[in-house]
Amino acid sequence: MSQSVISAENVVKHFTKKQSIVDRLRKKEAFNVPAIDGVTIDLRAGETLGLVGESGCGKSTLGRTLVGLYKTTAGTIELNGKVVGEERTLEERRSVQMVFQDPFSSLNPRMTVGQVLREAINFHKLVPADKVEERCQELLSIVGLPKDSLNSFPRQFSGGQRQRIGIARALALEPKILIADEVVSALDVSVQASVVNLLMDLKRDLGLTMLFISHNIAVVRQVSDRIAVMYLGRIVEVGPTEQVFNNPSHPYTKLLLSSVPKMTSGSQISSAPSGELQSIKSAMVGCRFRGRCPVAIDACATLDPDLKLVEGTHQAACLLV
Amino acid sequence: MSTPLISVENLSVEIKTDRGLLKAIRGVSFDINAGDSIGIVGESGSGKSITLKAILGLLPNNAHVSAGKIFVEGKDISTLDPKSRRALLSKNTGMIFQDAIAALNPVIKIGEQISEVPRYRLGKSKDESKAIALSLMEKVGITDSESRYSLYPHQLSGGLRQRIAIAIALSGSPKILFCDEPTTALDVTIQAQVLRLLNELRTNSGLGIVFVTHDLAVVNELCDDIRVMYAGRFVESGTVQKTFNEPTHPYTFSLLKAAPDPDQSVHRLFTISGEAPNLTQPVVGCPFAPRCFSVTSQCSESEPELLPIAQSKSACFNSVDHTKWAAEDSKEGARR
Repeated sequence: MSQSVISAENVVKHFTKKQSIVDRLRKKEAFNVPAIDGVTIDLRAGETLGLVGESGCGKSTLGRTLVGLYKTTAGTIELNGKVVGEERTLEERRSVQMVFQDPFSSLNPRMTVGQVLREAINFHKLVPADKVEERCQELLSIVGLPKDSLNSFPRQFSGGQRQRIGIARALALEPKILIADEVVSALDVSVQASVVNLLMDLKRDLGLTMLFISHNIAVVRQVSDRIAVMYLGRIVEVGPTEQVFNNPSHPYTKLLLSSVPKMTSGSQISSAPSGELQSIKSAMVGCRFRGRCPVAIDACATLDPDLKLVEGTHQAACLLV
Repeated sequence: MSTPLISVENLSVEIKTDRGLLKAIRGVSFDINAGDSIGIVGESGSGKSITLKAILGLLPNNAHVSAGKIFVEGKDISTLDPKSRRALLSKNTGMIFQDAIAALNPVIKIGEQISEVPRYRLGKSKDESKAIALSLMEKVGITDSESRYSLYPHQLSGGLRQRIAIAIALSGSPKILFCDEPTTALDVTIQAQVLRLLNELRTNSGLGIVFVTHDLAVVNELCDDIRVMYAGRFVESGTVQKTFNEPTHPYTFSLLKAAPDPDQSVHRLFTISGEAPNLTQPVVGCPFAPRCFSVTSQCSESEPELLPIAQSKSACFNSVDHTKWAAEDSKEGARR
């Protein structure tokens, strides 16, 4: 098994809900929203881990915590076997980069593509000053943008091209790990395919390790080596993509997979009632999925299941597995 | 044959923009009958939403119908005065939008929003309207409707809001429900619920559905017929089953290949190079020609019409050359 390049051990991230004056006058206790609540995950060198779940389950928070945009409330993150401190070093920051969902708001409209790329390269002093332009050109060709793009502004590009700029910016720092947070969600099917192909090429050619966060299960299936399913701040199932798709073990994974509209004719989406993502507040004790679970038993209300081995490296967090 | 409930003939819509006049729809014709389920798919900017809005008279101020006619129950609605046009449309149609929270009024209780149409349009009494609203809430699968009647939109989850929007659209008991990407903003599990609900309404009450989306798989789950839109025109029209199995237009073929399949993993996704044309510029030849893999010299000269081919209709000079396309597909595979 290849070496783990980034791993999270029991990571917890709470967001403190701001109290209104009414709440304070009523002496209401502050409630910390545990966006991620004890997640242990590791990415091995060169693999793509797909992270799926409904909106609000904490997948983006996990991505941002791994990059270092959020500080952990508890738990540790290890990079190349070393625990990262409160403040990450320059080197640690460089080695984990992120591509964001919205190619419109994640690029500064007043900076040209060249400025965006040069800023990153110069700050980290990655190449000698006279080689910077060369490096910028190289980055453009890696992500498939026209050679003369360096002096253009983001608004002059289409959505798919902007996402390529975002990818080039992340790659400018020669990261080992790329966190792709819903990178294709804002794109049309035709453009989406080319960006997905680009990411797969980059992963292969540059040996990147990638965390691919998406709610689009069909896309995740195409890009991922392994897949992790998140529900209300926890990872409920993780394993090799084909195993999870062919043999989903957690009831939530089953629900999720059966809800995906299919391309083959005559198929019908599942007819089981499925409920909605609950408030985390109401699900703090026992299994978080029990309120929606079709097979819940009494024990689910009190016991909080841990990830258990299903087969090989395939794990699921359900009492009935 | 009897007259279709809604008939659109050669509809064209122009939008005034800063960059000039944008020809958003360039001659679209189709009929809608009670009980039909038509999916309109296309990329953003292809004119799918504008088509719905033009039919329902919801075009923004900078857009207008520049040519073509819309008939409802055989009457040309452009000749009607606004009041009778409204009456005719509201009797026959309902619409749900992509963003349910924007479509609902945040300061009015959801139950009251549902009972507005029975109360003010159908002239029912207050109690009768409330009873209708409650039964509609039950119909769209909202349990405990009595207590939820007095909630405000912000107190509901995304799926419930979309159900309320559907209940409002159904409150005038329309024959056709127009849906503009109603599930795009929802999670897959909630999307499945909404699709299931629409499917039930269709089979149980014979509701006709026109469903606009960019997601081919959703059309596959819900609709019998499909219209593929590109650059303001229909480029392919046919049954879902036929079109998914044997697409006749290269664009449809490419879209189907580019969509990732949740049931299997491919080594590499099929891509469509280039971008949709800018419709503020005049279209010369086939608008898909620059992105097309089976382009011929004819394609750059004139724009193909939507003509019958096998059981479908296709706007392409080189329709249905499946063998050639299959070769193209394997060539793409060889480049991996």
